[in-house]
Amino acid sequence: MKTVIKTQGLSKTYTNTAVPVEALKDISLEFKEGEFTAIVGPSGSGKTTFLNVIGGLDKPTKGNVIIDDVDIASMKESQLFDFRLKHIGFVFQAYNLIPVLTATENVSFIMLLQKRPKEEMNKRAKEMLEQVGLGDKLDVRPNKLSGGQQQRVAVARALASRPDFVLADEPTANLDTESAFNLLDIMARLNREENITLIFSTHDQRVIDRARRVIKLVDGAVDKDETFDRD
Amino acid sequence: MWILFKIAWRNIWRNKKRSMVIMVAIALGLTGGNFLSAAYMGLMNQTVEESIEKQLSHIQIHHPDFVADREARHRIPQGREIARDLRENTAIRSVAERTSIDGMVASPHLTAGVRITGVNPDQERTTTRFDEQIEEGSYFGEEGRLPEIVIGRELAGELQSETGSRIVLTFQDINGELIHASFRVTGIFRATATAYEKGVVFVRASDLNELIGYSETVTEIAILLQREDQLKFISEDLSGEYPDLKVRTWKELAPDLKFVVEITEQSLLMITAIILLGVAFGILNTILMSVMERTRELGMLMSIGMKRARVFFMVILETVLLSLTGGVAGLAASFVLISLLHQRGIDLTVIGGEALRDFGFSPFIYPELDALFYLKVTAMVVGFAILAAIYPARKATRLEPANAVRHE
Repeated sequence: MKTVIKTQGLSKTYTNTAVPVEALKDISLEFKEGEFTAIVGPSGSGKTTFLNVIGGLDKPTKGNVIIDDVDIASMKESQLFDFRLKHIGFVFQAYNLIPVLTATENVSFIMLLQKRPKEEMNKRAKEMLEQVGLGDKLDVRPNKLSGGQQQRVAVARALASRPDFVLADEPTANLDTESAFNLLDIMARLNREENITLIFSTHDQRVIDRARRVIKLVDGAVDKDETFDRD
Repeated sequence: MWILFKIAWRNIWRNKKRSMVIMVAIALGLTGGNFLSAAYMGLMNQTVEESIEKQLSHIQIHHPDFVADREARHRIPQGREIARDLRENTAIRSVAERTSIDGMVASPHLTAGVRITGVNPDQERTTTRFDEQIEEGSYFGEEGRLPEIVIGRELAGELQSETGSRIVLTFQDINGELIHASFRVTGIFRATATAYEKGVVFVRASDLNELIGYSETVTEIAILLQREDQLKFISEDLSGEYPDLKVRTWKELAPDLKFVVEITEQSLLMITAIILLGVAFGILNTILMSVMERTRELGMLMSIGMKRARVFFMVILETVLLSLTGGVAGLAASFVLISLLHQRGIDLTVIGGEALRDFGFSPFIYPELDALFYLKVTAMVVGFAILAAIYPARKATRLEPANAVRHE
């Protein structure tokens, strides 16, 4: 299987605090295409920092992040913006949809930034919203959707641009049990059927129970890296 | 790009109350500024138009020495022939020959210096429409034993004269000899400026010429053009044609008027700019609040790959749209208000505006504003909106996407 992300000796130290904080310590990991990985660990263990660094939102103090044979750790900021746009899908804990746009427009927006043809954009947005079970909410704005539905729009948005992998930061944290299971079912299906690489940072046991690989971080270092057969 | 317009436009209406407050502030500011400008512009235009149409005309021709020494001996050689030739010019609406000299006016109560203007009443009717200013009596209608004179209301008051009164003019003839002559007041005129009412008297050119000893005397040729915009071109043309004479436009004849006209628009735009500057701080506050409230959303946009420059543009666009919405409302309101008052006029006499006449202005104002002024104000609204948006837009682009998406 193709390696999608490879980290080598990844370290991150925050120095803008009273005492320097080592958020990541020498992390070397590989993520293969189609993996469904949960990054777990207590608060302050470095989950979010790890996701930020492999998502090109933050730079490591040391080490490399190789994606598509390119070390994004050495990229300039403007290159990182382009890189994120083309290669990474994001799902956030608080959905972070654009409230003034409809579900379709929210999903299309990233493709607009990618300058995709209009027909392709509309078709793909509709297709993705149907895949996440929101085919009947195409023209509805986020404030008319439940939390679970909003997060499904966010998943459709993340996948619409056909990224190399999707980073989801505590995507179920704000959802009730039914919505969370519903979302996880959809994501697991997309992971299985479309071979999409998913990396979650989570505390949620419901997510951990679905993940085929669970990496536990403790104090910024890999404590456990386990794989499970979920099929 | 269309989607950015859509987002910016819809964002304005996210907090309707807050946006409406700033839009109303912009609209009121503009209406106030434009109304003030229109009133002032109207006042200026009336003054200029009246000066041109009832006193100066567009162009005047004199003997070069006459400019410093307004005496009959500095007459225009072949003045009548020149005037006749000028009447053939299709760009010229009308031509009036005058015998204008300085002299003294005396009644049993007062002696004062005046400009004595000898006119051909029929020519003057078509050139300066001066006859419309007669308030009492007639405009050279009655032939009598004494030559007729038309004087201003102010001068009549000071001389304690009325129609029918006899007054004496003293002036020099073409040889420099002093002449005293009696005239009968047959008309009293009213002008916008009191100084004009006091300082100028009108007699028939034929009467004056007879007294100064040369019936063909013409010291001044007044020209009214078909179109004001040809002023420069025709005055240059006439200067070339009559190199021995002094050809001057109204701008040279009344440089103070020209100066006032030139600085009026700049001053008014400056006043509007000051009003908009105040409003700009309100806009800044509104947009800054809007940006702060959307930290997570902006963080998301930058996380998924929207570049900082595009975020900056989006905030600027939002501010411009917000300001233009208020601006268009303000421009429309001021247009309606100004058009309405332009028809009706504003009577300032009820609030003591009569004193304006002492400064050469009419107490009746007909506000007016040209399309270019509206256009400049619109450009200013956009300009100030952009200035006001720079700080919030920079604030938005300085957000760190990783932190902004998790902002509480």
